[in-house]
Amino acid sequence: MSRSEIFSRIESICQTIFGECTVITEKTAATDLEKWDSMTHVTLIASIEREFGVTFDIMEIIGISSIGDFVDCVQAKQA
Amino acid sequence: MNSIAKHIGSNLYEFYDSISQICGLETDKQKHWSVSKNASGYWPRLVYQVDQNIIVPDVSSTFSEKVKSGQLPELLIAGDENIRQIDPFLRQQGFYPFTAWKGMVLSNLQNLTPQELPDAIEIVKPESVSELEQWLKIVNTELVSPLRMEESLLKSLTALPEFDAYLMQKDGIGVSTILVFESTESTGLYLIATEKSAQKQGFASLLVHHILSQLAQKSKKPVILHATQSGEPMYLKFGFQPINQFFLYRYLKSNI
Repeated sequence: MSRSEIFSRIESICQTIFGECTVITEKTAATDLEKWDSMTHVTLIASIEREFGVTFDIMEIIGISSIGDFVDCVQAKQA
Repeated sequence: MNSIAKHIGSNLYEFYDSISQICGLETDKQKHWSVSKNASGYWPRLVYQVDQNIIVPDVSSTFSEKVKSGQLPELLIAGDENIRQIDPFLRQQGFYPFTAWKGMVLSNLQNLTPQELPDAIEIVKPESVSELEQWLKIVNTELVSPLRMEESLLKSLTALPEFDAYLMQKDGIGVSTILVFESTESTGLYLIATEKSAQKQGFASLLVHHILSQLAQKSKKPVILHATQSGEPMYLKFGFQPINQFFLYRYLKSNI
């Protein structure tokens, strides 16, 4: 799966969680979105794991701070 | 190094134990985890001191029952010992990791030179209504949101010799907070926060420096803290060394 396909599926998950009108880029970070708190963070993790059928390692999870980091993690698992 | 790591953990656990006992919060102390509960919406409300034996069948089944019956709060702290074995179990229970604190220690305070505070800056122990409100506003907005620390809890804590709260004010307005907790073997720094509009101006650093200078006069105990990723660089500058990690989990109620 290409990086842009991964991003597109993650973008769709984000819009379900943060709202359809939320602009998401790979650079979007937790500090950019008021709604991105610890609860939405764990919801994102669980949703992305389920969408791609992967499980993130705990060390990967604590290093994730932006959408691009999620894309990196999924891509690394599919390589 | 192991005994230092133990101090960092035990200071944290004693901190929550003390808060729970002193303030009459409902607690559930088990051998391998402890729960500190408050009224819904109030801080603290968490499970802490989760250790590796959480995965032992007898222990894990009791823990699972409590999760299923809704008896455990939504926040959980697990130490880093065997975290890769504990993590899958916690996830099965519905707890997901979202961040980590770095356990840090400063063993030698002696080289710290006291700094003079600029004219507009004052450091006070919050006692008046206004000071208590300022301290709580910063902590509630910057640290424990969406939960809330009650004024009665802060007053109970500061009445005790092992807790010292400090508020840094600029022109009489609260900008930074800290809560110092003395355990038998170490001094812990907690709830270090800066009001949003005052961030990145060095207030927290000045406050921590002041507190460390004071501690250097009266104690030789190691100073410990649990740093967020963004706070770590500041503590490294003071000479704190990273030793271990604590992982924070949130309970994910719905099955996404």
